[in-house]
Amino acid sequence: MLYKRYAAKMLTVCLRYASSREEAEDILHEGFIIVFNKMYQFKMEGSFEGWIRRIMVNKSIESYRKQAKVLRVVEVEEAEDSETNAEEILSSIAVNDLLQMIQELPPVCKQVFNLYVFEGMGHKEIAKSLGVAEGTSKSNLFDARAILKKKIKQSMMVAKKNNLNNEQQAS
Amino acid sequence: MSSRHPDNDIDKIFKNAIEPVDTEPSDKFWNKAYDDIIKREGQVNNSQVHRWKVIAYTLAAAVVILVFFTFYMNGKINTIQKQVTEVEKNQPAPIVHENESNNGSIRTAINYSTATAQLNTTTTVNNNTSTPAVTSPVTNGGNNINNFRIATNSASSNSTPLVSSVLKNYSNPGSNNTGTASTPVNSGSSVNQTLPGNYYSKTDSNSVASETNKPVITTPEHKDTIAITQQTLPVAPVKKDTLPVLAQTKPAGDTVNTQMKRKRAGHIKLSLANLYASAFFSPGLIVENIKDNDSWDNVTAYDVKSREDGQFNYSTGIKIGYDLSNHLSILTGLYYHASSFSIRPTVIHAQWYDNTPSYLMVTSAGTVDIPCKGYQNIGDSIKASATSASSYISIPLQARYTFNNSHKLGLYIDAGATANFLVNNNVDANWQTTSLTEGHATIPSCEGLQTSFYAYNVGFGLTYKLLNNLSVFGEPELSGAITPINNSSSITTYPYIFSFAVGLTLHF
Repeated sequence: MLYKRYAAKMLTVCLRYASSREEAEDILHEGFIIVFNKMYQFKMEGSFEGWIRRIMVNKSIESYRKQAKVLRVVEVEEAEDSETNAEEILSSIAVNDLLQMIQELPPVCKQVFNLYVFEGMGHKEIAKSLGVAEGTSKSNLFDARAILKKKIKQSMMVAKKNNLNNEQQAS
Repeated sequence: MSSRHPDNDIDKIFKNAIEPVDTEPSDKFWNKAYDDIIKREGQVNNSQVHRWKVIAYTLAAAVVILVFFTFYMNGKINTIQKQVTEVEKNQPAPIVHENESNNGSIRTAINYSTATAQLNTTTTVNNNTSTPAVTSPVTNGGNNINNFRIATNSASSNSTPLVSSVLKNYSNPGSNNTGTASTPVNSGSSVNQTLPGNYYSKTDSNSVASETNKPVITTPEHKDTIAITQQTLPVAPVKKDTLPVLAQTKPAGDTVNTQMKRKRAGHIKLSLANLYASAFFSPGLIVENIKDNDSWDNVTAYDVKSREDGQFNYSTGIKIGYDLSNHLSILTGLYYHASSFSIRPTVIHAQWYDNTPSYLMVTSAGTVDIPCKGYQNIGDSIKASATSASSYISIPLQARYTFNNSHKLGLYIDAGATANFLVNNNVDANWQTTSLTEGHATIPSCEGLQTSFYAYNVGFGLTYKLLNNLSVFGEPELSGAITPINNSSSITTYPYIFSFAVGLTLHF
């Protein structure tokens, strides 16, 4: 019952932090085990979904911390600012592609971006959770945004090309 | 509509696009989840079944040991009784009343046979007896009169029989045998008489010796007591009493038959008569013996001890004992033990535990994971206090030595071991965060708390008999854990319990 109700939602959360679907499902599974083990700790005052989500996020961070030692630092190229809007992006790029863009971020950037954007945490909190300096958190967020912008730009260019090809074929 | 999107725009794009999306897990995930659920359910059931199995087996073992001893001892006692009966049957021991004077003697032998329950008397008269003697008046006690009078009188003559006859008056209410038997007795001869019924001989100090050739003397019946005794006549000088006496005194109204019945009933009674049961209540004081492990959290045994205050704890239950001898007995039973303690407000820092930042409070009864949500970042701290309560079912096996069993006031010592099984544990925790937010939770389990432990116990007690089979007792006792009650990663706890049990004991 609990699985059926929350598994799909929580898998999306885990996918954002994981680098693959398999890893995300592993995190989801281990997260649910913790949910069952600590069910008694949940006070009926807050949102149960929020509590589960928090466990999934913590589990994802834990997974990241385990992998952190073997992860390499990725140099990020400066992305050019481009003129586009949200509607245009969302109409030309699928949600799954956006999710994949996050998954493809360098691990530290991905964690910081997720915690900052989706969990609403501040840099101080993020730094504590990930065991990094506050400045590192800020720079990683900057890098994550730059990478995502670049990817969006590339995706949109591809999408535009595809649209042109389609129009030409149609005409 | 085109606009440059600042950083927060791209954040919103991703957040708004991805957050509402649900992603259905793969079949592989569902299979794994299903297997895990089945496995966990099985583990929960198995652990509960296992716990009750262990309790049942221990209890059964204790009962088997008790029953074994009961039958073993009963068998031994039966064997001894049979041997005694056979000896009595085959070699009836006579009681001889020997009265000797300077010139002669009168000897009366009374054979009491348990098999026939008859009284055999032999009177031997020596012709040189100079002193008249009367021996062995017999009664059957109570209102059932069985008179047996043997009266002899002898004069100082070496040639003529001094006792001419023996008159026996007897009656047996059980068989309605009454009558008088008179047998002439010559000097140097003996008279053997067997009277029906059950008899004990009784000395009759009121007997009066008759004159020569007036052999019959009757005396008042002895209705109040039954005994086999020996006594010389007051008129004759007594040199010695030779043979031992079979029995001394018996309650009024008792007959040999009754005694036999009692004796035989003893075979049946022995198993039950040696059993006793006690119900008790025992408040106590727990002293924690805490040992340090390789601590990962810098919590020491001293820290734990210094922040805990013992609270009320008690045991109650029943003990069942079996007397192996007058002094030694073994006991088992079933106790319920409940204990609790409080933990004074303590500052706790969040640390990684089970893949999540957690507030762990190390207590003597295990590690408590305090569910303070929203402030679970590494380095955060809360101030927490708690009350921990646990209860156990205990099965003891003890040996007891009683010093003075027959007295009204008794003293005993006992020692043994108990197997203790955890039946309930919970911790009531209260906390306050650094932002003064307060929280409360009841946590149903502690990490490291063992589901069972074994303990030794020694004690001594005083008993006071209220009735024949009912007594009250008080017993100070020391109990110490042999195996730890808590074996968490930072500490190991071996508690001592000082208690004082009061209760009632019923002997069956």
